[in-house]
Amino acid sequence: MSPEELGSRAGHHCARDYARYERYERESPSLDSETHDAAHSHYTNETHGIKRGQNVFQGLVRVSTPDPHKPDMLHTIYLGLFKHMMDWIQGFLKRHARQQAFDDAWKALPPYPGFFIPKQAYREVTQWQGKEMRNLGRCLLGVLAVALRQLDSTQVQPFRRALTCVKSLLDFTIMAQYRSHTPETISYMEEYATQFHETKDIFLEFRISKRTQEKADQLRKELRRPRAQMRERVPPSQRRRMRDNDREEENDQRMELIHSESNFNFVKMHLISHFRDHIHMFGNIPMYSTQYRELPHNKQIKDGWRRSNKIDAARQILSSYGRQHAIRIRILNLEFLQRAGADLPTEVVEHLEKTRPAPTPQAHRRILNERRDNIHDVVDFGRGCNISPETICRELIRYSQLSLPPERRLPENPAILRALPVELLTQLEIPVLVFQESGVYDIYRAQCTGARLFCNQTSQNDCVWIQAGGDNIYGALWGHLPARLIALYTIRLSYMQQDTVYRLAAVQFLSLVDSGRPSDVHGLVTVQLRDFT
Amino acid sequence: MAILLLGLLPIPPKLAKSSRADKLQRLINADTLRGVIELIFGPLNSAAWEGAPIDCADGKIRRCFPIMSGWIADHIENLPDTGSNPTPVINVRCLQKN
Repeated sequence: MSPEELGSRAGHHCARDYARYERYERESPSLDSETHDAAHSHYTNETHGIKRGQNVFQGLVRVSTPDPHKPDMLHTIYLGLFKHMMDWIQGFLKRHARQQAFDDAWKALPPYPGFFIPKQAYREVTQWQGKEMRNLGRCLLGVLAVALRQLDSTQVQPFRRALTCVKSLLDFTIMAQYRSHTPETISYMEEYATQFHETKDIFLEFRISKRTQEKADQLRKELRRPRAQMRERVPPSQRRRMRDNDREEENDQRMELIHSESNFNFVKMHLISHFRDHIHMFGNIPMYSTQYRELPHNKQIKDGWRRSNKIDAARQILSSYGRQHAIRIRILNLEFLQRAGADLPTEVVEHLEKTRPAPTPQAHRRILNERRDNIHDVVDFGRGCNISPETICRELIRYSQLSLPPERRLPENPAILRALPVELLTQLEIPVLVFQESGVYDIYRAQCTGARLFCNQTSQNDCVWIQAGGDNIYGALWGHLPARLIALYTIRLSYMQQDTVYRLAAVQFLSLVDSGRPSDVHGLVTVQLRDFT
Repeated sequence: MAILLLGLLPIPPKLAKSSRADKLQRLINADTLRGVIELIFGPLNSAAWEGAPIDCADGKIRRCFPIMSGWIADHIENLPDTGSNPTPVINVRCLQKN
């Protein structure tokens, strides 16, 4: 790296260190590149300000010191850049008086599969875990877009830039989480990183250090004193205009100082530039993330520690885990041999049969849970949900005519419909396919308490996606519409001594703004709640 | 990816607080870490020089050379180049306003 590459923002000490390093290199030509790289010699030269020590990989063969470092999602992105970015965003919101709007949107977030609803406002949380930061990444753009609505003409450009910056970092994070890559996905990732670097200057003023803050305060004092004296001499009618002009100039000078003194020079900002090379060389990023290494801690270390007698525990932990691991490998080998048709002793076969876990067939269907007791028919059901029985009957007949085959249709006489037995339920289990997985499902439990309170707080009626048409409608939503659950219920119909159960849900659709076209600023589709009729 | 537990890093006893003791402490920590790494990777050294015959998925036996490809730690500072805490100075270009 040359002094020019260090740049004007690198600070004086960098150029000085580089000069020392250069001199040192000239004075010690005997060091060849191999010893230089592997730091074979233990050399400390205080006079040159350069320290060379022994590397832990010294003596190991086929180890290239720059390669072992791996990009890490948890510490680089979630606990690194996200945390920094939230500080900038808070500064930005404070400056534009939008903190309350951000907190309100933050607290009103609805539940969603794989997303935990924050219980406190953003400013009330004192400590953030990696899991919470990942959660934050999922909703940040939406919350920020809501907080930055209703803007005046001077705010259009900064808000747009801030949203683009946040969006590009979040998009970069999403691309970095992919388990497999193509040249396109890598180029997307690069594009988002470039866009982030291009737009991040909007947050530069919130990277202000204490020293710069002091300088800015000093500058303001120096500017204000002579101006106050000058203002005393002019007539009062002109004073106000003069004060406004002074304030504007003061602000300009302050911003100039902040922009010249602040920078984005920190390690984690630089690390994202290595993600692309890493994918080319070693494969996907999550594979090397520390969060997966931290998961087996419980099984490998903590369980061993609990089993040990706490005296010289390291050996006991190692042997405990080693033994379990060896037994597991042995069982797998035996199972393989058994499948291959090898002749195994009967007691081994018996043991294998005994220890084999029973295959649990996973039913990937939606299940209704948690029945409410006091609902017996349509009239009770209407009372429980604050909907008139006439409306329910009308909607049921419409549904029956439009969606059910003729042989399974509901009776169209409202008097019979009203008397049909109804069960009202409050939970719907929906299997959701895990991102970039096939055959692995998460169970999402959508709550629908109707008008009743949930956990003695407020009523909880979750939102769900509903396939409301073909893929070509509703723009970017591809025929899906978000809807709020109003009631989950079943209707039982006995006909010709045969019971038919209809599992139904009453929903309130949300309407699309701009016919489902993503916004060109934040790239999100906006929906709004319709009046309930 | 399988994760195997091969060893637990020992924590050397702490010395009294002073800059000299601090330097010594760093040296001791670095040496300890190096000793452990040597102990764990020692058996692989001969394989890294001469190669080891390993069954391949295509049914052949191939001569393989183990290569250390990753050191996963909390942060780049923990990459133990020198046993101390080297924080690299980097420069990220920032576009100026307008």
